Amino acid sequence: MQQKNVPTGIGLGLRSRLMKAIERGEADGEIAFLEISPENHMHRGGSSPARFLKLADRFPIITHSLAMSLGGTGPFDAGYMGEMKRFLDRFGGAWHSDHLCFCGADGRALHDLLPIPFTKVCAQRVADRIREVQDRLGRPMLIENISYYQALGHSEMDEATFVAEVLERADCGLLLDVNNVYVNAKNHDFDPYAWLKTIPLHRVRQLHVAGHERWDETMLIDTHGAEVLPEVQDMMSWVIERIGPTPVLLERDRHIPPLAEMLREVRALDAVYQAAVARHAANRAQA
Amino acid sequence: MTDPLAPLRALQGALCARDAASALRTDLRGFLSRQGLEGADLEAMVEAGPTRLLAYRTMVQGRLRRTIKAYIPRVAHLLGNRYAQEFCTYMEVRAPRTHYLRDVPAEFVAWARERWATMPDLPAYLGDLARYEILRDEVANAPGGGEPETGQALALDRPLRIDGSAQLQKFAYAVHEVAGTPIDQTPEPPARATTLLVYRNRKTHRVHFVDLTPRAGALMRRLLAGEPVQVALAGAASDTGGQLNDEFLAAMVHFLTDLSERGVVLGAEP
Ligand SMILES: [Fe+2]
Repeated sequence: MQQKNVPTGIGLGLRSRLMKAIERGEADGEIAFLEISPENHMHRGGSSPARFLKLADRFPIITHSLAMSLGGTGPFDAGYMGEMKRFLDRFGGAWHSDHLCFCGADGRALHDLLPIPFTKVCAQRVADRIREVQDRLGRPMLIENISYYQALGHSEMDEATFVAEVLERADCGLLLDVNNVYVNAKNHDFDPYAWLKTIPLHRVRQLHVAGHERWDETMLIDTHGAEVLPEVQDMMSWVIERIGPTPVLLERDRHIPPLAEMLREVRALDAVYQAAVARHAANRAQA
Repeated sequence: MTDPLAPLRALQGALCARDAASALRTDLRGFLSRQGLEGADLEAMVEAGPTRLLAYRTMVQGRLRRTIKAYIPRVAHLLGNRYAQEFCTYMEVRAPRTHYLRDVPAEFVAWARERWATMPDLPAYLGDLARYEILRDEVANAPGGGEPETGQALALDRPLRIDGSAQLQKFAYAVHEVAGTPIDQTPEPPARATTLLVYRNRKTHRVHFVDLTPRAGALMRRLLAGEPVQVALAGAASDTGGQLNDEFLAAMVHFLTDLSERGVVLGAEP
């Protein structure tokens, strides 16, 4: 599922803690891309956009926003969407992504990724909104599956079926977060590979892998605050073996170690990734 | 047919309502019904129990409460336990509206400043201090700024171009004078009407505060509103009860020259 002008391999998220080392060139040649959240750089002046501008010249950029509230109520904020379009016209790549969630209802913006009901009506609603966003931004959208800690209201289907339903109705791509699948599988007691077999893998354009932490004895939370578990790496491998070279983001948002240590994790993950890519190529040659 | 969006509003209610932390534990069904949930949606969420809703509430409120506190450390310290209560009320009656997390503290302060002004048991300078505390980040990140110089000398009949990061803030207290003291030993700022010009240096991106005299403040307010220089000068003189004489003009020319050197005044608009 390779596309033109799309970086493949392991990338990192641009976090302020890593910025200085990346500016010094310490990630050059080590990462396939930088994933950035436009909200951190748009509608903003001063040193932050000035620094970003220089990095955008040196690394392929993949954009991934946090606050669109694709599953939300009410119309999209015109000012925010306008700024987003201007930003993406300048820095965006083959797609833009945000989460399959809502961030607040009736004008509130709670700055978190909240679940939406797994119903047909909701799938159609969010698919319509994704199509609207694609039109407004003038580029394809990917949606990311989130970690959810409780299904919201009455569920007509399971999460994987819901994600598949939205993807088909919106005719959009999937940013597959395998750590979120793993966390949900643990919290809601299902088989993560059954989940992966339910979604249309041919729609996967990008992956996220991350670590997570424990909230209490009954619940894991997706904090991106730890190293990636072997089980989550295995899930990445399983997917890459089936879809081939793809951009894979190593997410880390809490307890961010120095860049050198992050790069060691990148290299370890890359070894797993390359082996999966090789298996994919071998499978294709056989077929 | 039940409202397909009711579950979203019910979750938002659990995250924002002041009484939700206790109501979810003691009367989950009653609370969710009051949020508009009914039928199969209500039954499913009652069956699931309150634990995960409470976890969501802790996560969402905690993140926003910490974000705001990080921007107003002095005010949060002065409020003590009351900060959490004020935050809780904010979440219920207003809550963030901006899509930018970094702008949430300013929204909170805009809401709180009006409210605190009506609360006699709080220090009268608290709202001013909160506004002052968020100013540095607000100006550091202001979308405007760095506009090109016009290349045209000051002309009396034209407005001046002013760097887009610049803003004027009026305070009833000299809140800037307490900056630099330890957070837990913030002295009471002097009750003195104060006008600060705040801007971001075009090259270094550092934020600067300039404490203006009343007439410089009056002039700046008019120039920022786009008045031609002569109109602004005459207005500033009358605003401050002064005369448009040589002494006044010399002082204001000196002021504008200083602002040109600082890169705040960028020449006459063509
Ligand atoms: Fe993710």
